[in-house]
Amino acid sequence: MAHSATVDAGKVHPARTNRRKKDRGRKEKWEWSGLAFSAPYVVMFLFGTILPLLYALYLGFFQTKMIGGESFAGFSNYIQAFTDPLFWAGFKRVSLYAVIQAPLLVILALCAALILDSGRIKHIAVPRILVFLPYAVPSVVAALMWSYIYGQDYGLVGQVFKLFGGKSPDLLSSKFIMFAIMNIVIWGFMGYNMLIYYSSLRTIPDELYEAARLDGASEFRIAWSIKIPAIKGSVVMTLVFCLIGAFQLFNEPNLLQSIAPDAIPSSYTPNMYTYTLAFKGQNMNYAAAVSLVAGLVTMVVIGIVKFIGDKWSDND
Amino acid sequence: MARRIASVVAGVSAVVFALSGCGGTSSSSSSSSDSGLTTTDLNNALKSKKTVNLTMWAWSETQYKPVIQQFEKKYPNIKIKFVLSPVSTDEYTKFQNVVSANKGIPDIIQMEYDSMPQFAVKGDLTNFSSDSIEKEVGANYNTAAWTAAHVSDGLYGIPTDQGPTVLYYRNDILKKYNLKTPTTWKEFEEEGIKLHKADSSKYMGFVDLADPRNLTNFLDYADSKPWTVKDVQNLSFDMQNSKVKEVSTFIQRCIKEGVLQPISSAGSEFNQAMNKSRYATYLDGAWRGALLKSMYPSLSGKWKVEVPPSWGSDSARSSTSGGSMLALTKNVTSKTKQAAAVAFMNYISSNKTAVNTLVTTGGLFSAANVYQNDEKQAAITDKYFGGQAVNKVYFDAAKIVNTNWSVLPFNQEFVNEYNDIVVPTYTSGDSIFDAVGKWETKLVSYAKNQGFTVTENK
Repeated sequence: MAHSATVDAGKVHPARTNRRKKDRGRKEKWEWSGLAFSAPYVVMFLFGTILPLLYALYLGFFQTKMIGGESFAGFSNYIQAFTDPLFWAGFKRVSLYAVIQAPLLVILALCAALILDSGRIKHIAVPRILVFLPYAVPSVVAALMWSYIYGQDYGLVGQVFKLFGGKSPDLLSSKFIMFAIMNIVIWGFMGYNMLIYYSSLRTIPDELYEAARLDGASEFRIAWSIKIPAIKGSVVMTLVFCLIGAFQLFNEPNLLQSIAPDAIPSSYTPNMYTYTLAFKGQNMNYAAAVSLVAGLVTMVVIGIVKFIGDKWSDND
Repeated sequence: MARRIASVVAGVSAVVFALSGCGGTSSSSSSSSDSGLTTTDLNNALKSKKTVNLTMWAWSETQYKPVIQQFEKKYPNIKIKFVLSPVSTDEYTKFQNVVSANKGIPDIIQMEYDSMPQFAVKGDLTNFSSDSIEKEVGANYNTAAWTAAHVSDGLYGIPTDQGPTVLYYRNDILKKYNLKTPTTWKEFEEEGIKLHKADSSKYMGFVDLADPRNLTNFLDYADSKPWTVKDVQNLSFDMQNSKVKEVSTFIQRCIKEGVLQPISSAGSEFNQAMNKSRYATYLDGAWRGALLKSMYPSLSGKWKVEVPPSWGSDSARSSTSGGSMLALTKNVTSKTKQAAAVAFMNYISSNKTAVNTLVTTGGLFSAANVYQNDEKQAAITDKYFGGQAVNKVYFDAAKIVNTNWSVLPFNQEFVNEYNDIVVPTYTSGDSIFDAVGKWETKLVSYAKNQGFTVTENK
């Protein structure tokens, strides 16, 4: 399953093949039955994505006051959102987070996949499932579990430091909290990314390795010159997913907030900020505007990354 | 376009109603007007042969279900449809939704004292204040609880339970280090310094980073009056006054001296610290006692409880932490229905048998005087608290809850800004007082944005 997806993302360009067909002058016939097949998705997409987006856009043009009720506000919510220091502070935070976390996650998962694929591990199913297991832990549980582990006095980290006669730094303080969150997310998603890379690696024909070995290539050389280039497409795809995940960061900081309220403000990430505005500040209209602006900015960033990434993976 | 027409129509009809002087139904947004509802109306509603159906939303199902049955048995003409709602903020969101849709609004709704004003100022609740109700129904309840069911002069519900704050303390720790039970906050600080000097792993108490009431309770003890809700549209702020400064610097000093430790009660570290006897006191609502019992059974016999210490030379004051009331919504417009609803709320919250059920099977700290003045209840001792008659202390605390206090009508925003602006200073060492000033600026601009008229004492 996973490998066909990665091949699609990386290698085959349906648009290009279509064009080639047209060039040959064969006219495509409209197949109305195709519409029936795509209808469920189109309907879901319309009602699940497009309409809520339009509704949010609409909401953003109004303001609701406790005294005075609802009134038309023009672009004021959107203008305010674009210049909101809390929003941009949150955005800067997730950007920094993304710059460190996304590459780290990709590299670690890639290493794990290459190790598993090296053919030197017996009973490969066991380490594979162990690396994947954290992905099965719901992020809510993971965040709580790690908050116990991080405990400065009674947590695992604190106890280990105590064993060696030291005092653990407070991993839930404002200095370290971002790394604490990164660690939780990487722990949770490494196995998932590893599995994508691993299944892509399995599709590489063994003959390539044999040929390389005959030419005297070491295993490291094989990994570097054959395996990684062959799965560039998957790497770019997962990197984009990681970045999207980073910009939409919510669960982990939101859960840790009650345990470390002094380190995590309610506008810690753009997503947390919109959530707070909507459900704690009772400001649905402004929340809608901020979420649209956040979505727009994220799309631009992801678009740039995707553009550069595709260039790199096409560049064989 | 349709929206604009709708608002114009609404405006016009409001004017028409005002001109025609529709008496009888009370306007829910103006608090000063007398609703005209009297205790005679309430008594008539109970005796009436006509059936009245009321819908009630509440999350305290085990508490309310039995007393509703008792009521319906006694007064079969008033039928209560109980709808179990999600707890607290989730219920308010649901209520918000039905109010916006103007469909499916309940008649009676359980609300916390901190959250009720938000709905009262928006006109989602009905003010049923009148001289006769204030005097005769009000006499059934603890004064502070009765005040908390108001926004300024407007009365929007009947208080059910209450959370007067008390000082739980570890008698064994204080004894071991030869410390006395603090009766003033100054003593609290002095004894705390001694304790921390004797054993640096111990603290007199803690600042709960996860509880926004931590600071407000202190502001209340000092009677600092940082803000006032003058009426449903007028607020005044005075958060940089000398009392607020005293309180802020007191907390800041206590943190520096190792008297108070900033920690979040939400994490596992806190539970461990409690079990390992790190803190000598625990300041919280009277309901905390039952939780201490169930969460830290190993500390049985070591705790005691006292009313909070007093601020400066003032007499001791208690503050409020939690507690809920039953509010009358704007759905109840006819006078007969209002009378029936208020009679019902008053019955289950203050009738002796009903209160007894609420207390014994529901474990509520009732706000009714029949409970708080009950000698038998006051005499009950508790082994967990070393055989102390804890109810007596709780009742004493309830009597001294500061009534010179109001809750801002946007509690969630209030808490939110507190968390973001003030809470970080407890651990960073930055000035708490300055942070409170920034908090005030935020609250003022929010209030203005929401259409309130704001006065600032600068």
